[in-house]
Amino acid sequence: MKQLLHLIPEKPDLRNLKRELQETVLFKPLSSAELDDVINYAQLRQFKKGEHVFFQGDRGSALFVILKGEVEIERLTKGKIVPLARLSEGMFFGELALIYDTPRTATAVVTDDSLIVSLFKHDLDKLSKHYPALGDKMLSIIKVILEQRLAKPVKRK
Amino acid sequence: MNKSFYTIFGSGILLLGVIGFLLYKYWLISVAVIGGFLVYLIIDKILEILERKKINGVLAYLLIGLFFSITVLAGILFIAIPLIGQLEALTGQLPDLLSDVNQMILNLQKNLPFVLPLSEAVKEKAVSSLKLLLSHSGSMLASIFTVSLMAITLLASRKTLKQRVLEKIPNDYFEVIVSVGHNIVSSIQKFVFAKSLETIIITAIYGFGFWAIGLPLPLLLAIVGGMLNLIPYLGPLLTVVPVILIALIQDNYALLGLGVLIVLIARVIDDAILQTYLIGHFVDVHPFMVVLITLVGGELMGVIGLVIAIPLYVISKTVILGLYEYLRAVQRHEVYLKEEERQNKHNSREEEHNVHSQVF
Repeated sequence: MKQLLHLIPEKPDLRNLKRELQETVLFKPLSSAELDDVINYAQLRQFKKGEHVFFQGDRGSALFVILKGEVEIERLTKGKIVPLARLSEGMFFGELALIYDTPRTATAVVTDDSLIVSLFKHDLDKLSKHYPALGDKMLSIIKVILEQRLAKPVKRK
Repeated sequence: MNKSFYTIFGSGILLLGVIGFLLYKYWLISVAVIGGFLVYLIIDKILEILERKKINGVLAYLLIGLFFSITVLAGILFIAIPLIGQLEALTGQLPDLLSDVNQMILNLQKNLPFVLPLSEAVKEKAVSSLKLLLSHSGSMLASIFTVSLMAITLLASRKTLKQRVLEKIPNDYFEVIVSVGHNIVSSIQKFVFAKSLETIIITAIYGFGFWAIGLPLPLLLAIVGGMLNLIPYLGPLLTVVPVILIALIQDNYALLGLGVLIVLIARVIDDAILQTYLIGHFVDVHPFMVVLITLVGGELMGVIGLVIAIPLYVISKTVILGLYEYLRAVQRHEVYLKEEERQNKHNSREEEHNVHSQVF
């Protein structure tokens, strides 16, 4: 029986990093049970310095949360790559792909070995379908953060 | 888009063609692999639902095992065994049936001289085809076991399998490959599910209807009708032929009318409900293309070709579009990486220059 039982696998990765995940901007407002449900739909990946999370022009389909490491957002304009922002632990990016079906407007390049969690649009759709309240909560968190990000440049003026 | 893009895309399509040919050539292995994978996808879906209901691990697997054991047992008891019995009965009765049909044709010939009687070769071919089908019933049962074994093997490494596949993807292409891969798998999964559901519903309508009106061999006719329903336009017409023939041989015109009515009811349900709400958006193909693809399928693979032509076309189209999207992304990434490399070189040269300026 024991031999048979070990064939039935458990979710190996993200559960061990639940505490780190709970400290990120995106997942902080979620309860422990809600986070467990989200973890079932998320992917954890290790990136090395110099690797790309996504490229400008790709059809975006996921948002990414940095658990460890650093990511630079850059844009190719008139033959020149211009850095736009540098993101660190706990921050997330690529969220526009979950809302608008448009190509990526910038490239995300890893500037330090990183641990990144991705949440794909099709998984968020499934999450919203199966747990409507949690789906709504996730979308409203993204919306609030997006509004804050968009408001920042205006405030600076 | 440059020439190399089309070369890579063409090679990709050629590779898909070779895979398709191998699947066709070794169809028994293909049935086990594809069937096993489809069963795995269905069980995977059920496990997902159970996990959402917080039924995890051993209990979930036990419930699924119980459900599938009951389904397979019911399938063998209520479908496979009666079906083999009906096939055996038909094989025995076929020479007499064909003689009756021939007699009917001869009677018709008196009024319509252009109608030709069945030749001996046609009769022999019909009997031998049926015997061949019956002789394959053993290997069909064996393939059920192979499919189950394949599905169990995949299920045993369910989550680690997904994880291992994901780990193999290079980080630079992770988002693109997962997105394209998901589109392909989910489109095929939805299409196969919708088409299977359509076939099951139509087979059930035929089966129940034929049984209710007292048509002989109801299960066999229903299963053949359900399969023929996969042939666009021609399928329902082909279903009606044996129904009419059996009713005419029995000289029962009420049975003929009721049999045709059941095929018509199934047709209306299929067109008005199933095609509209279930299949419609998957098969976005012009009617002319539907006819052309079906004819090509029939020419290449006979009756099986007629049946699988459209499903195969829809699946191939999804895979080719996915391949195209992926290769476009690869091309875009290469352009960006070249630009990045050029700029990095330029930056390091500038840095070197600055260092030199500071030194001197």
